[in-house]
Parts: sequence; structure tokens; C-alpha cells
Amino acid sequence: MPEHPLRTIIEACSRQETDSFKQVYDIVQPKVFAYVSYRTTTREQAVDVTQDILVELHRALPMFIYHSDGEFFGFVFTITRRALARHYEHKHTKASRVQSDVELDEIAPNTDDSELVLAVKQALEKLDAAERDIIVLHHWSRYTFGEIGAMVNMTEGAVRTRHHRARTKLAHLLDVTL
Amino acid sequence: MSTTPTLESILTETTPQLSESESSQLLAQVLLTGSVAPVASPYHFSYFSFKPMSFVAVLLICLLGAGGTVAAAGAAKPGDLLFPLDRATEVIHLALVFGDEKAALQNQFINERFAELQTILNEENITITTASSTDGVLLGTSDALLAASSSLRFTAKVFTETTVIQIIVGSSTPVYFTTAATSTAAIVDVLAARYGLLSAFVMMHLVIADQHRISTPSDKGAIVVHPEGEVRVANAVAVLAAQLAGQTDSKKRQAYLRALLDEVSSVRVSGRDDAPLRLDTERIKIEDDRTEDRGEGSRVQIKQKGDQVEIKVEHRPTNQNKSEDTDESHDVPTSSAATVNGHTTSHESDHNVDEIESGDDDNDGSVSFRNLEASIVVPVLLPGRRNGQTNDAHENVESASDHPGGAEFKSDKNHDE
Repeated sequence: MPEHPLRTIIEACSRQETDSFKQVYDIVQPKVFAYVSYRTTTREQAVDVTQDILVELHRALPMFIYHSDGEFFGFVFTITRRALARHYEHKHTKASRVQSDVELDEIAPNTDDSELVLAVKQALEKLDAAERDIIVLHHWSRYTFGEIGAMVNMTEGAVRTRHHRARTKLAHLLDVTL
Repeated sequence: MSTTPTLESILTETTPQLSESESSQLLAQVLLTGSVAPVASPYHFSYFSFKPMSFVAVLLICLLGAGGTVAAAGAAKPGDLLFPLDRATEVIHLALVFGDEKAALQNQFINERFAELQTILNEENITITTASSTDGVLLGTSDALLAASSSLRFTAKVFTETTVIQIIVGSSTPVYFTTAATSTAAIVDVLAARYGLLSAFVMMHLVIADQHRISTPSDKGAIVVHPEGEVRVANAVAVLAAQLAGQTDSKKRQAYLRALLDEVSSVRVSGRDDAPLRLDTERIKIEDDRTEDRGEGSRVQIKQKGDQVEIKVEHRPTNQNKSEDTDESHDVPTSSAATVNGHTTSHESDHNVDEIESGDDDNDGSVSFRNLEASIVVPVLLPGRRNGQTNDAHENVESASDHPGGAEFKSDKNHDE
């Protein structure tokens, strides 16, 4: 296994090698879909927005120069936030949320969610925006603390601290053990 | 034994995921959509998105478009929309050449103006007088010609520069018009098209004569124009007169002025008892800054002051009439109603005929020219008025020619006649 598999895959994408994008897709799609699901109203919307993000990534990837995994995921996260902003603008729903990162602080109620998922989302809603993003990105999108730090422009230590606090609060809200 | 769920397990369990089939379908959609390159909106333009090739394309379109417009302006006649552009191009050309080349270019442009004036006269020339049109009523119907078939005659005189067609119906006044056609077939076509006649009918009544010389105004008979056409002709004359004032060679200027007088003196206007051409434009008085050019048998006088220039051509009376002339001052009428070769005459004041030199009055034989006095007043629009200074006449005239229409062409018949 290569030392930096993501670098190899991305460089293959820049050479437009066959199936190279599928490997990126397999890595990125679950992460993106998880985050988008928590920011959209229905599963259908989540799929549509995810598709838009991946299409944009597919077009942009040949021009992306790899330096680190964190930078790449930060790049994907930027595309994600722009796509979500466009989604809200086009839908004219919750338009004010897309004006800034601070305003993107609510969880969209997903009508397809089960009771447990709704309970988790309600608990998440009681966290502040930054803590909520860290929980979602770490537990649902499976990003490492280092990657999250690169994505939200924080140090890894700050992310860990915030994650710890958010996790404690969430456990208390859900009445579960850590 | 049930275990209490941990936060980790709950978050893992509630992680949103796509199924295998959904994931495959999504990948297919992404690959399909992503492989189609986005098309830039043709309505979107910004400095940063501007490509060099686009710039070159736009530049080429502008240059070709401008070139086309200038080329089209070359064919424009006075009064046309593009004529000012034509004149502007000529002024630029003149500014870029010097000496003999400039003089040659001036002559070329003056000849162009003459050609345009002749074209306008031909276009505005209404044609036919019928046998019953002794009162000057002009008709252009083929029926009138067919009815007068027995006494109808078309005579085409082919000169070196044009073909003059004379139409005679019975004993009525002949009617003339010119055409570029030189061959029999072409002349027949012109006549057939002009009057809606059959070619065979035209052939029956057509006589063609080769003249092997340049035509004179008398060869062309009277040119009759509508009052609407009169304005157009007047405008063309004003433009030409302005350019003539810029002619540096005095002999050539005289010759051109005579030719201009010959051209317009034979023009008649329908609906006004075939009155001569009148150039209905505002007159502007000229006082100082005058130059004079005394030539053979006539005096060409160019005066200018500030924003206007006047060209005056005075023709010497015959020697035997001079004594009578000196007893009587001839005022070149200055009102806008003054006419060419016409009926208005004034006897008073500021123009003293004693100033007119005697000389050989031999010219091209045109009687009407011999007995004409004429002046042309053309407004000159200058960037700034230069009162009390001697202006460059040619510079002013070039400016004037850009603003045609404010000209007045006046002429008196000599009283001695």
C-alpha cells in the first residue's frame, strides 16, 4: 500500500486515468453525504446536493495539486459549503442561514429520519455551531481531528478540546454514557 | 443482558448513508454530468474572462465593420446619411498629403463632387413633356408616349463620358436625360424600363448618334426637377462650391466654377413655371478677409470672415456693353430667393461694376454663362472665430464643406441683354 494513497489517487485523477475518480468517490461520497444530510431537509435533497458537489469535484480535480489529505478535504468541504449555500439560495428556504458560517447553525429537520435520528438531531441542535460541525464531521463524516482542523481553520488541539466538550454535552443531553 | 448504548454507538447507528445501489447510481450520474464540460454563457462578459482570441475577433469585427462603413460612405452623395463620413475621410486624406499630391487629391475630390451632382441631377430629373404640355405640365406615362407614337422620336447621343437621350414628341419642347448606357441594346433597355415601353416600340423610334466628344450642357437640354429634388441639388451645389473655394489653382477654380454654373443654370423646377433653380438657404453676410482672382473675362472673388465664405463669379459684359454697365451698378442679390440664370435683378448699391476687368470673353460658348453673375455663400464652421485676422481660406473652406446646406447660390441676368 502506498504511503499516501490519496495523493496517488488524486494524481491519477489529474492524469484522467480510468476509474481514478471512482476511488476518490468511494472515499469522499460517504463523508459528503453524511454532512449534507444533516444540513438538508429530505434525503432526496441530500442526494441532489451530494451529486452537485461530486460533479463539481470531478471537474475540479484534474486541476487540484495535492499537498496533504487535510488540504484536500478542506477543498472538498469548501465545495460542499458553496453547494449548500446555492441550494438554500435556490430553494429560498432558510436563506439567511447561508450568509455566513455562523448563521449556518441549525440542523434541518429531516422528514425521513427515524425517532433515534430525530433525537440525536434535537440534541445536536442544542450545541453551538462549531461544536456541532465537529461532532458531525468526526462521527458521521469520519474525518480525523487533523482533517477537521484543516477544514474549519482550527488547530488539531482546539478541535480535540471542542470535540471533548461537545461530546460530554451530547451524552448528557441524550442521557447516554460516553 | 442489555447494555446501555454509548454515545459512540448511537452516533454510528444514526450516520446517514447511501445504499450500494444508490451509491452506484449516484456515481453514474456524477460521471455522466461531470464529463460534459460547462458552457460559458454568451451573455456573460468580464475583464477577467476576456480571452485574447475574443479580443482579436472583436477588434477584427470593429475594423472590418468600420472599413465597410467607410467604403460604403465612399459611394455616398451629398444629403446621404454617410456623406459626412465620406467628407471626413477626404479631409483626413488631404491633411496627410502635401504639394502636388494634395492638389491632385483636391481635384479628384472636386471631380467626385461634380459626378455626384450630375448623378443627383439625373436622379431628380423628371422626364417627359407630352405634345399637349405647352404649359409645362410634366407627365411620365407610357400611354402618353404610345398615343403620340406617330410623332415620337428618341435620339441617343453617345458622348465620350455619357449618353444623352433626347425625347421629342411632336412640336413640344424636347426632354433630355443622361444615362451610362452606350450600346444600342442597353439604351433600348433604359428607355423601355424608364417609360414602361416594349423594346420593339423603342427600337422603332430610336436614333443613335456617336458624338466622339465630351458633352456640353446645351447637349443635355433643360433638366427639370421637382421642388423636393431642388433641395437635394442645392445641397450638392453648396458642398461643391465649398470645395471649389479650397482649390488653390485659380485657373482650375475658374474652370470648375464655370462648369458648376453651366450645370445648374440649365436646371428648371417643375410646378413653378419651370423657374430656374433656387438655393433656399440662409444667407450670411461677409465683410472682410477677401481674396480676389481676376481671370480671363471674369472675376472670381472669394471672401471670408470668421465662419463663412463667399464665392462670387462675375462675368465681364461685352465691350460694347461696358459703358452701359458702368453707368449702372449691379448688385448681386443677396436674399435667399435669388436665382440662377433667373429673373431677379437688382440695381443698387454696394457692388461696383467698374471693378470688373475687361478681357476676352471667349468661353465654352454657353450663352447663359456669358450673361450670368453668380455668387455662392457658404457658412464655415470654425473651432474658434478669428476676428481681425487673415484666415487661411482653404482651411476654412474645408471646414465649410463638412457643413453643407447653408449655402446660397445667386445669379442675375445681365440687364444689358
